[in-house]
Amino acid sequence: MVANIKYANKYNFAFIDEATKKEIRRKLLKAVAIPGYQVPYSSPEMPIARGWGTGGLHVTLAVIGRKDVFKIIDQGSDASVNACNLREFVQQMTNVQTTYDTAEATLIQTRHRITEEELTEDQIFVYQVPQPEPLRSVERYENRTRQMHGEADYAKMWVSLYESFVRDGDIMLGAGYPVKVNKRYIMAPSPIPKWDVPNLNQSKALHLFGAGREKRLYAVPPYTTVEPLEFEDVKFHTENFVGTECYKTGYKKAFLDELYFDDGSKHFIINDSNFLDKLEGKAEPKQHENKYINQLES
Amino acid sequence: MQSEILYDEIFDAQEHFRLILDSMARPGKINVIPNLDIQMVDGINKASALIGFSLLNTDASFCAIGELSYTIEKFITLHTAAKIESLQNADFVFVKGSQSDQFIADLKIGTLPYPEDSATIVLDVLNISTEEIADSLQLNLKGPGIKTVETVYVTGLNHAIMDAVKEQNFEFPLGIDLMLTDKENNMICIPRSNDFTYELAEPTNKPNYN
Repeated sequence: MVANIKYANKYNFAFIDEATKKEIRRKLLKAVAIPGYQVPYSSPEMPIARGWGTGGLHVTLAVIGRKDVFKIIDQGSDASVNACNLREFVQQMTNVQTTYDTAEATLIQTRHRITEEELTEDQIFVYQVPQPEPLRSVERYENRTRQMHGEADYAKMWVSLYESFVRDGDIMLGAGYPVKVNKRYIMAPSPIPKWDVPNLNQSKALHLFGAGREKRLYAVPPYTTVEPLEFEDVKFHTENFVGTECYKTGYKKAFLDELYFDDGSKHFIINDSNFLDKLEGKAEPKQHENKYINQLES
Repeated sequence: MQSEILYDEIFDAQEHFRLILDSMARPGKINVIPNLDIQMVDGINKASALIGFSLLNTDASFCAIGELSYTIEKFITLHTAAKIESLQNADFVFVKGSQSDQFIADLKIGTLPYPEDSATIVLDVLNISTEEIADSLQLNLKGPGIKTVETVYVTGLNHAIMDAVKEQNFEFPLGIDLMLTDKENNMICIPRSNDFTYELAEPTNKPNYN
């Protein structure tokens, strides 16, 4: 008897059908060729709702192969709900090896953070992006923002940053701080905190961004100049954790979360769960280096 | 559409795409496309055909120009069901490195709001190497994806093509992306963001007029 292997798996490898994967792949190549430019794509149906990480999933599933080692984080944690569910889904659809270890992974999907540990040339970093258009806050219409990007007309963006400074004494953008990629396109670096923004500059890894609900893909190739928008006299700065440290490890040079204990006392803890585990295990993970982190004392 | 028995449309396509993506993200990095024993036609490098197999389907258009272009078009469309288009409308163009540069001015380069609506050239050359080879074109690549400068030596490439591409890419983000393959399945990519220069090799055997 001939074994029926055709229907042994209910789904195609990596869930998405091959025709759609090819479309996403062609768009990804264009995104890499034009750093920071948002390429429209099909954004096919997934078993989760658009806006819950489908863009990142599309990118991951379009590039993943059997030999990949997959890691996924949500807010820096391997264990939060979004990460766990998507990891399980990707694992079931591809049967790849998954890991919590940043250094071991070849493909890392993320929501809201870049890992604290430095990325390598062999890694691809995939972002789930909720709002890919940095100009949306200053221009409502897509055809207008496209024209503004096309002509590199970013006056409105600069004015909005100026207004924010005049109104509040600082540029009040916590996550998704706008950056200029390759001195051409202004890009929204997904809602990563300002802490992570400098790590995109001259990174060793390839960064791919997928916005499923908005149907856009974009990319930052390795060794690309990524500059946060700043003025001559009002400079970009990262989050300020002066006077605080991780209560478990005493470490100061990482992005910290604020915790309130049952007795009402306030503590801080390293946000990146794998980085915290490694520090607790007395390992010395190599951290990203940039001028904002370097000036902090550890 | 006819399936090539020795080509896996899921896993080979994925593996080759990852190499293309890596080459595109790191211009000048030579990746080797695994040698599959597929049935080929004359006039096109196997790596170029495999790039076509991994990226093309009925939603994409392409054209081949130069010698044997009819055979190549038939071959690729047979395996991928991609549409054969005119030079002015093709998404992918398969061409030999020795071709004259006339065709480049006809290719689509996108519009400012939609620069991705542009052509990708898949160029067949003879040799791609990081070491100097005789009668080669030395490409010095600079730009996103490259730490400082990347140097690659290519033979069988008409330097006028590089001039014409440079002219088309002048108004970034408009432009054309290049993929180069050689006889040994080596591949490099040169995206439009790249700021390349080239040097011609000194002719090794100068004619002796004494």
